[in-house]
Formats: sequence, C-alpha cells, structure tokens
Amino acid sequence: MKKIKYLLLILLLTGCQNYRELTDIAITTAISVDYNTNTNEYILLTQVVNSVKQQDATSSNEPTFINFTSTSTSLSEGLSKIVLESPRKLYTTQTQIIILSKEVIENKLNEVLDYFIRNPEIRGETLILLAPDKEDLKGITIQTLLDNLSSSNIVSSLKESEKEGYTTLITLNNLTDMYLNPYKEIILPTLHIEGNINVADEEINKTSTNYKGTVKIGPLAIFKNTTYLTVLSLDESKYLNIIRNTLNKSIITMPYNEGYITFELYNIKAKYKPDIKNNTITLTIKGNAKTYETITNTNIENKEKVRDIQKYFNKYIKENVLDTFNNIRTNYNTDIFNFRDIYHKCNPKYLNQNYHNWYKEKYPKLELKINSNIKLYEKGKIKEEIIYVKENR
Amino acid sequence: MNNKIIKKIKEETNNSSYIIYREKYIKKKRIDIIYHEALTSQDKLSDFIYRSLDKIEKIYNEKDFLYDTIKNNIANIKIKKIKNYQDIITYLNNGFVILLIEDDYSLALEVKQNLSRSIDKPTTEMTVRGPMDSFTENIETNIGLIKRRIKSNKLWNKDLFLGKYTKTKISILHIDGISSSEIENKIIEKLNKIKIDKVIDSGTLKHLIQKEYKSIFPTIISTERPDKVSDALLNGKTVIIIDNSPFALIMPISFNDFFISEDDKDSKFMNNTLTRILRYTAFLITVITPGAYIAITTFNREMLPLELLINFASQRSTVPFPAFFEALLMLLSFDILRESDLRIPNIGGSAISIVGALILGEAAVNAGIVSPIMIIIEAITAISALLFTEPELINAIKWYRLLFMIGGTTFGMFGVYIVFIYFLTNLSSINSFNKPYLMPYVPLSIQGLKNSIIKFPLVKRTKRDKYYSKNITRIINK
Repeated sequence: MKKIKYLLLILLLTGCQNYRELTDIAITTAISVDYNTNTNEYILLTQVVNSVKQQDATSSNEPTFINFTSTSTSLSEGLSKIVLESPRKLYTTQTQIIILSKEVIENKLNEVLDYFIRNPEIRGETLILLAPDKEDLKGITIQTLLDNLSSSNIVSSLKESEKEGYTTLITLNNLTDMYLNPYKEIILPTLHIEGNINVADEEINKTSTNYKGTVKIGPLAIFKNTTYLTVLSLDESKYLNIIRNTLNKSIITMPYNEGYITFELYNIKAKYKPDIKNNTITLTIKGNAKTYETITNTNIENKEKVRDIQKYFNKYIKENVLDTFNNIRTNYNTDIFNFRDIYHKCNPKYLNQNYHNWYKEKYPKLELKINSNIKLYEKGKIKEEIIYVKENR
Repeated sequence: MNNKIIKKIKEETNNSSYIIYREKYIKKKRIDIIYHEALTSQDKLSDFIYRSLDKIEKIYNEKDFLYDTIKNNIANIKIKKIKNYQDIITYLNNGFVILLIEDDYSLALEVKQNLSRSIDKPTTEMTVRGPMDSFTENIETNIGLIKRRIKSNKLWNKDLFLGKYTKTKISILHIDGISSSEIENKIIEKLNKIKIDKVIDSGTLKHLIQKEYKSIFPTIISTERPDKVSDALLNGKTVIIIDNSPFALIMPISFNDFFISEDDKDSKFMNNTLTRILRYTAFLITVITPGAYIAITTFNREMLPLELLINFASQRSTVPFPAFFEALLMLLSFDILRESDLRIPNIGGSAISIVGALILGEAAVNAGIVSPIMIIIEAITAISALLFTEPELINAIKWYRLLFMIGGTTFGMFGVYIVFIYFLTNLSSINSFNKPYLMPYVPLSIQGLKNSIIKFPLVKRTKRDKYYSKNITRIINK
C-alpha cells in the first residue's frame, strides 16, 4: 500500500503535460507550402477536418473540412498563426500529405525539411507531392465525393497510381534522404488541377455527376540538386520506375503486327551489376507478364508465335528503357537513376575521386546494358485471338 | 444433585421457555430429561427416547447401574457420556437430549432436528455440463458431498470450534499423501491464538487466516461447488468447511485458478485453450480499456487511424466533460446499477434493465453527457468483468481500472505502462499461504503450464504441480 502512494505521486507530478481533449484539437490532414520570393514569406494552406459535420454527414450542407491560410517568414510561426483564424489549435500528427511548390524546393528546401523532420508532431511517413503550378497548391481545397477529405482522396489515388507503376511514393523521410545523400537526386510525384478551381471548392462539385474541378496525380517530376527540371510523361515514369527498381506491377502496350498487344507486368525486379573499370552498368529485368488485349492478326495458339511475342516484348522493353535513360541523360544530365549511389556502394574510393567530375566525364560516358527476361505465362481467358480466328475461318 | 444442575441451567438461560425439563422415574430412580425445543425433533424424542425408556423400565434390574442399562438398550445411535456441567450446555445447544440420572453418570442422546435446506443447484457458479449440486448450510451434508466424491481413508479432517458465542464448527480437510498437513497446522495454530466472539460465515474466517491488508487480490477462493472442492483437494490443496455457510474455502491458490471453470473439464483441450485465451484477454480488456481509451484520445492520438480519430472527435464534439470524468461517470453508474441488481428481489430486475439500457445508454448520449464511443468502451469493460465469478477479484479489478484511468489521464500511454508495471510487480509479490501467486508463470512450472492459458490433453497432464503437491504423479498408466 505504501507503493501506491509513490505511484500516484509519480503520475500526478507529471502535471498532465501535453493533455488535450479531442474537442480542443483541429485535426489537420494536409499542408501545402508556397514561397513568395519577392516578400520572402511562406504561404501556408491547411486542411482541417470538420469533426462536427462527420456525425450527420448526409443531413447538413456543412463542408467536411475547412481550409485555413496564413503567411509568415518562418514555418512554425506560420502554422501557429492559424489560431488567429481557427478556434482550435492545429493537430498535425495525422497529416497525410505535404504539398510543396517549385519555389519552396528551389529556394527553401533546407528550412522546410528541417522544420518538418524536427517537428515531433509530423510523421516521417507523410507523403510529399510537388505542385508544378501555383494553382495546383489549392488541390486540398477541392470538394470530393468518394473520399470526404480531398487529402484522403489524393493519398488513395496516389497509392493506387503507385501500384500501377505510374508514379512513386515519396515520404518525408525519403525526401530528406534524397536531399542529404550526395549520391542521390530528387524525384517527386506531382499533382495538378483540372477543370474550374473556382467552383471546385464548393458544394456544387459534389452534387453534379461530373466534377467541376478535380485533382489528378501526375507523373514524376525530376530535379538536379534542388533545381526543378521537368515533369516526365507517364510512360517515361513507368520506365524510370523499372530502372529504379520501384515498379512491381504495370500495364504496357506494345505495337505488334499492325495491331497492338497489352501486357500486364507482375513481380518485376531489376538487378544491377556495375562494372566500374569499363564504366558500365548491367541491368537485368526479371518478372512475369500476361496478355490483356491482343488486337492483332496472330495465331497465339502456336507456341512458336508466343515465344516470338515474348522475345519481341523483351526487346521492346529494353529499347524503351534505354530510350528513357538516354533521353533524360542527354536532355537534363541528371542522375535520378541513382547510379552514382550504386557506384558508391560498390567502390566508395573510386566514386569519391570522381565525385566532382561525375556529371562532366563519367555520367555522360556511362554505358547501360540491359537484359530483359520477362516471361509470358498467361494468355487470357480464351485460347485464340479473335481477329485471327475471324480472318482464317 | 439434579435439582442443582437444573437450577443453574435455568439461571444461565434466564429460564428460557424453549428448554423443556421433564422428570421420569424408573423403579424409583429419578431421570431428568432436558432438551431444547427448537433444536430437537419431537418425533424422534417420542419415537425413540420415551418408548425406549418405557421398555427399559420393564427390564431394569435394580441391582444394576441404570446408566449401563440405558446405554445398552436405548434406541439411539449417537450416545455421549457427560463428564461435566460444560458438556451439558454444549450438547443442549447442539440438539441433544440430556438424561440426567440421579446418583449416576448422565447421558446425551442426539435427536437433532433437520434445520437446513435440501441440496440445491449452485447459483453463483453455473456450469453447462457438470454436477448440479451445491453446498448447504449444514456442515455434515457438505462433508458428505465431498466424501461421496472421494471415497478414501486418506481424506483427513481436523475440527475445531470457533467463536465465544457462536461455537461454530470448522473442518479443515486435506488428502494425506497428496498434500502435507503443513498449511492445516498453520491455520489451526493461527486460529487457536485468536479469541473472537463470533464466526457466522466463511467470509469472517477468510479474513482471520489471510493477510487482508497485504493485497487487494483474493488469496483464497470461496466456492459452493463440491466438485470444485474435491478437485482442489486432489490437486494438493487444503479446504476449510465451516458450519452454517454454503461456501467452502480453498487455499493456497494461484491467479491462474480464476481463469479455470468447472466447465473446462468437459471441453476438448483445443477448444478450451481458445476459451482460456479469451478469458485472459477479457481480463486485460476489463482492466485496461477505459484507461487506454483516455490515454489514446487525450495524449497518444497518433496511435489511431485518421478515420477512427475523426469518428471519435465527431462523437465527442457535443460532450462538454473531460474524457476521465466521462469514463468515471459511466463506470459509476454501471456499478450502481450492478450493485442494485444484486440487492433487489427478482421482480424489480426488468425495471432495472430498462433504466440501465434506456436512461443510462441512449438518453445520456442524446443529452450530450457521454459519447456513444464511451458507452461501447464501458459496455465491453463491464461485460468482460462478468466472466469472473469471484466477487473479490471483480472488486480488485475495479480498483485497478481506476488506477489505469488515472495513469492514462495524467501521463498518456506511458502512465498506463507505469500502472501496468506496478500491477505486475504487485501481482508477483503476492503469496497465497507461502505459495507464489503468479504460478505457473512465475516461477515457471511446466506441469502447471499445461493447465493454464494453454491446456494440454488430459493424458498428457500426468503430473501434479510440484509447488502444491509432494506426490506429483497423477496418472500412472496412460
């Protein structure tokens, strides 16, 4: 019984520090950060859940979330300034996405990463997106239907796009790693707004069958150091993901025999074998594929033919991967494939010697050899190809 | 001489109208028949005692001792020789009839009236399968119920009488060869030192032999099931049966014993293991849930998925009270409801359930006093506590629940962990009659583990727990 006195003393001496009731917090799900280079100020936009609304979501016209804005020279001050407008203090631990503008990354990435990584109320797993245009930062103000919160909408869409190979998930931890690691370059998934943003944040966006304005997940944006270069095309994003070994599943359409064949790729794995002496990297792509559509006049019952298609497909992948690599290298001269990192892991001494002339000498001369070994293992529900059957009967 | 004794009894009992005195002469020898009307059976008295005395009058030879003749010819089994005045009082108060023979030894003959109820179904410890008899208030019946199950000479008992006024009979049982009489001797030694005026029930005795202030967890199990008692005896435990109480006391016990039901014997080991895991989980739920809920919603909100957090926040948006107060309010009202349910007669039961379900549940939510999620938390907490039949354990759970709530309110999940560590250290420091309470987990006992949170098939459990029994072989041939 004596011990219980000490126990109660320990507990009561904590002074209930950090105690906050659920009714006192504004649950923040998304933050977008912009930077005005003229005034040197951050422009913050936050999405806060309207927790009162959720209880009777169908009956009232209240929105499911509210957006608060503030401007300040420092991020922490900017976020704390939101209480001037909001009746509750921001609770940012559940933040799902942080959207950064081009200006932030080019000018203030150091400060932004420092604040978010240092802040215990922001998770390292928070997803980071790039808004290529200033308008796109307003993606978190749009009313959406399937997910009540537009941030959840963006996260779900982003995760599904990642599964299909269109983009890559970059968390706060990943971004910090890419920023701090001298052997890596930054890539970020993008989002952009389609339609009319001026009505998209109103209830009307949810009452019509077509969104008046909507957010779309875009392909990957590439950087050199912190300089923004471009946004790749969707196909380039896919092949970039194959090279970076971040693609597991995707759909690729290949022109074939005056028609086309669509393949679904599964379990794609890429392996590197660097040959530092000859400045060569051998990339072996392995995996499985099955045909989705075969709109071509070919007898796919014939095993020889199928073997032919497989061979042709592997060649097609090899060419496209190589094209993507060459295109990015010649146009932008940025090593977003992390080849420098591979060299460093393989032979740190060699890379440190050549670190400064990497982009001048080593990288432009680097040879990428590709072995594609994707196996075709399924032809779909029916045995024969429809066009072939119709024309040969 | 007889007159002197009668006068003394009358003086001591304030001339009680229930004590009947009757004189009878056998061949001019005076016999005083004394008995307590309320305790004795009139039928037995007239059928056996009076008729026998009439018969004895005819065969009595005046040269013989009357005491011997009565002793040899009376139609009654239980005959006691009276040695002193104290004996007369003892037997008189125990339903004997006293035959005071002039100038000779006196006799006490048992003509006890059956004042106890018949053997009923157990009401506090129900089972689906298993025996349906339970102890009564009569110590002889209770011993009989045990003896019916253990037909062995090795079931030894030691009796003593306790209470200056009540003179309650207490039987301490153990099976010789399976357990030692060590605990029995200790208890007797302890009880002999105590001078107490009354022992009415098993509860009083329980507090006399255990250290009541040491821990809030019970170190003795009280049961009304003879099969549970027999099983405990055969596992090397000691049992106390007390007169006028339908509850026997089993000791020493371990914490694990509260999670074992008599129904378990009927179910297969695989199914039973699942049930045991369920019981342990229910225990943790009933102790920790309110505290963990408060900790998670007021400190560690990052532990919740976003959608759940939004749901919690929206449900709590109309409640003006802190989460701790809200939880306390619900726990208090449920405990009041439960306590009142125990006290009121069966007729009022439905009224209570209406009040409980409608007013405390639905109306309180609509009025914005508590949130629906708190009702769910409270409901799961309360239902989980109903798995345990020992009322003392439920009371201990209540205290710890409150402590966990304080931990959660002041320090979040860290507070809950701190209280949990305190809970574990407290639990492991308890001894039940010098046997570790957290057996078979701490100290580890392989034999005990086979019948704990996991259960092994019966044929695999060939040995008794070495901590309870010196003779550990249970099954010799598989």
